[in-house]
Amino acid sequence: MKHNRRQSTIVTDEEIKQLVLARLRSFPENLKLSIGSAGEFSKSELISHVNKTDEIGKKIIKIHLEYLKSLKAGIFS
Amino acid sequence: MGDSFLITRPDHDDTTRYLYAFCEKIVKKASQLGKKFIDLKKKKANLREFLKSVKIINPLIVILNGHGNENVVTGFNNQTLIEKDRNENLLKERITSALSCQSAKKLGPSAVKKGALAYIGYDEDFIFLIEENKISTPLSDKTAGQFLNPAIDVPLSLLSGSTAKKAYQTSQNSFEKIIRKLQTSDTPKAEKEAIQYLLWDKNHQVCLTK
Repeated sequence: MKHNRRQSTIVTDEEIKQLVLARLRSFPENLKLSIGSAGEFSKSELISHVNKTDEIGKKIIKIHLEYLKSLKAGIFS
Repeated sequence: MGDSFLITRPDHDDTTRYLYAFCEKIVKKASQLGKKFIDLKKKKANLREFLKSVKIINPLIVILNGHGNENVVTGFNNQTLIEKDRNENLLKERITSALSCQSAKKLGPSAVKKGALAYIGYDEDFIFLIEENKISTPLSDKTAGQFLNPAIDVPLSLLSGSTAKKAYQTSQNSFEKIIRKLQTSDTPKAEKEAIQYLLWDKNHQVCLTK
């Protein structure tokens, strides 16, 4: 009996985090990101927060994920 | 009520100093147009002055700049100016433009439910990039300008007599224009970094109306 196995791809939180960290590596050194009352963050600070996955880190991940979803939806075509 | 307006412009930290500087354009335009307005700038962006000014000038348009969350918009030193279920009725029969994080998530809808004509703001954090060496001269910061100029198109359009929806659309179009420009192959990779953050602001800007 043959079984057709459909492989589903589940992206883990850790993989998403690593993806965002990889993207943050191209963040310009001369810039900071202002995130409301949370403050202004340099590249190294953004990376640190994402690594910790604290409130700021989660926010940064959310921003990047939304962008990636937009790319997938073809919003720029 | 006429078409008078009230603007708050605190400047107690780097982010609010940027808003303060870029919103100078609004005040200048208002003066040129001969508009009646009160500019609550710096320390004057406090609750006492805000309440007094609303009474004095009875503004049609309220332009709020400052930190915030889902339920509040704040002024100088993050003092609450407008809070959901406390005093958002102050915005009744007025059009509000709020450059403040998240306030369009709960405060904005509540204000409209309680009679505000419109509330244009953000249902998530408003974020922008800053050039570190330009922090002390915000208006020379072209990177920050890519975010703040489209954002202040809302109050600028309102001052020109646009409806809330038209002002919102003008701002959306400005964000879109900058995003498209940054996408071209001529744009250096470092500058393209702004695209995802601009898209975030554009997508989370909302116009709530009666």
